[in-house]
Amino acid sequence: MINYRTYEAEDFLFDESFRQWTTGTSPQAAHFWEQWLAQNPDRAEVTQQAQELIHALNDHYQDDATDDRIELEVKKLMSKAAERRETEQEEETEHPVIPLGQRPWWRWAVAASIMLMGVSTWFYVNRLPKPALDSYEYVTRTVTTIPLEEKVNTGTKAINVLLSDGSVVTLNPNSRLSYPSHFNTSARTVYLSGEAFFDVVKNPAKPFLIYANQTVTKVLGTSFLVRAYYREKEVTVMVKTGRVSVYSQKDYENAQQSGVRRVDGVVLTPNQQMTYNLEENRLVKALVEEPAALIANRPSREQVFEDASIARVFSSLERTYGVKLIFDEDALAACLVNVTFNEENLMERLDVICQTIGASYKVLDGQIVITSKGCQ
Amino acid sequence: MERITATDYKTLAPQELWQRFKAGDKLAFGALAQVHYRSLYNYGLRLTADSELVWDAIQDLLVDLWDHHQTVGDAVFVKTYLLKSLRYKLLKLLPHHPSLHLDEPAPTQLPYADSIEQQIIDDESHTEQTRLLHQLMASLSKRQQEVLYLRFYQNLDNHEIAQIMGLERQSVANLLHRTFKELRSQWSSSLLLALLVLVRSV
Repeated sequence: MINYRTYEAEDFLFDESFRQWTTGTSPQAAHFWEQWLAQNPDRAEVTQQAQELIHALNDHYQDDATDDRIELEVKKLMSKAAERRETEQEEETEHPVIPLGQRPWWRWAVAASIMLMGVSTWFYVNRLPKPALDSYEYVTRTVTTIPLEEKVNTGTKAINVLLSDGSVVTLNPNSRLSYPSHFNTSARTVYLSGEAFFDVVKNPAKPFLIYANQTVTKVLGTSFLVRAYYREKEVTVMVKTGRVSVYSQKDYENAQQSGVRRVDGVVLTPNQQMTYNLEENRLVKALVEEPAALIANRPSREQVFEDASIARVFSSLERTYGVKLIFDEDALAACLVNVTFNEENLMERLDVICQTIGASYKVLDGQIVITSKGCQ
Repeated sequence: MERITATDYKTLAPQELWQRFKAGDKLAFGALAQVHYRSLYNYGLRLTADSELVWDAIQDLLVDLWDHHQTVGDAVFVKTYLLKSLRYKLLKLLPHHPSLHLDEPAPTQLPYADSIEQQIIDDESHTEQTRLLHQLMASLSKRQQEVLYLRFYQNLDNHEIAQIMGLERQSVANLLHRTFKELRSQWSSSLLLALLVLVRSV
């Protein structure tokens, strides 16, 4: 075990785990350092200084190389290498040197065909993982290794889907959503075909990602609408609260694979909308024309409770969010609640209620289980 | 040699990639270039502000490497080897190049657009700190800047830095120690100053 107590700011700069915590790339590291700081509050100043320096140095050393540019350079390099290879082989085989005009024609033919093969193999190999990378079927069935659950809305009314982190997705008709029953540790990834309104629980350590028709929308905690019907030529994202970033799927995945932090995309703030044109691969940002229309897309979730019994509160929550709450009605019979909700999401509402009555809750298989000792 | 698919190259250990490249495996060479391209380019930018010159130098360097794949040694530290070669190449080019020489002041930082991630996470003070660091960096000597960069961004140890810059290992250690001392003391006092300015302007 390293004795971090003796560390000065510059020692922290080069500690892998400390850097991971600072750049938010490892939840385990975050867990360790938060605990460590709680136990060593006198080192807070030194670690803060180190964190500031790490952020500033990372910014300072940023470069302007895009992934496309690097890919281009590597391709250029490979074709140069292929040329070199040919000349090299010719030099080895062609003794003695015969003047150009006297060279047998077939030698040229062989050399040319080898080169063609080399180039086409290179392109072939590079193209392998490309086909239909972006279709809903393809991503949900092959890209992810986690088993996914799927909700399909074939009806005429929107349905609600509760995810394991407490986020609620309102899935509109003719739409499909795939999601893991439990999110993994690094990100919350879901796949959408169609239209849905997302109410995402805030968790900066675990970004929420929506893959939809060649786009990736990234969220830290907010509410917004994604429209990505398979047959439409555009994907639309409208933001109600908070901030989201939208990328083309290609850019996003390239950046992920090469481990780069910079991805070209569009940041949206409230009442802004982004349209991604699938044919032109273009992201266009605009203000939402009619904010009212967006609000209409969002189910109204205002709730007012005055001296309400917990059973009434919970059944109201069940109706508003279309989720199932499991609780011991007898044990909670004596609990009364006074509260008004407007913009809070489901988890925030549950937090408030549970705090008031001294209960706790967890999300289990798309249902919410409340545990409480009851009220006197 | 065992045949592997294109995606497998991404998972190969650096040593195996290097061995395959030495055996004339063109895809391994491509993968090797891909792995090191960004750090090479980023390092090149520390030596000259002329980004096109850096791109060209990296192409030359890597084509040279391919030409000599049969005779290059068993580079234990591939990255160190590549960075050192790029440094050598750029320094050879630079005296004839008007834009920069190593003894001259550092190239000014290009005004890069902030990444989206940064925009979301950053707050006002963060930007202020970055600006401050630019100033502090400018007050360091070229050598100090380079050791700090190789240590922090490229994550190299003193021995590797010494190899790249052609210095004694002890000199690197001393240089780093001095750099940190300066950086740390100025960082705290400057931040305090910046804070005071902020408070007054509110």
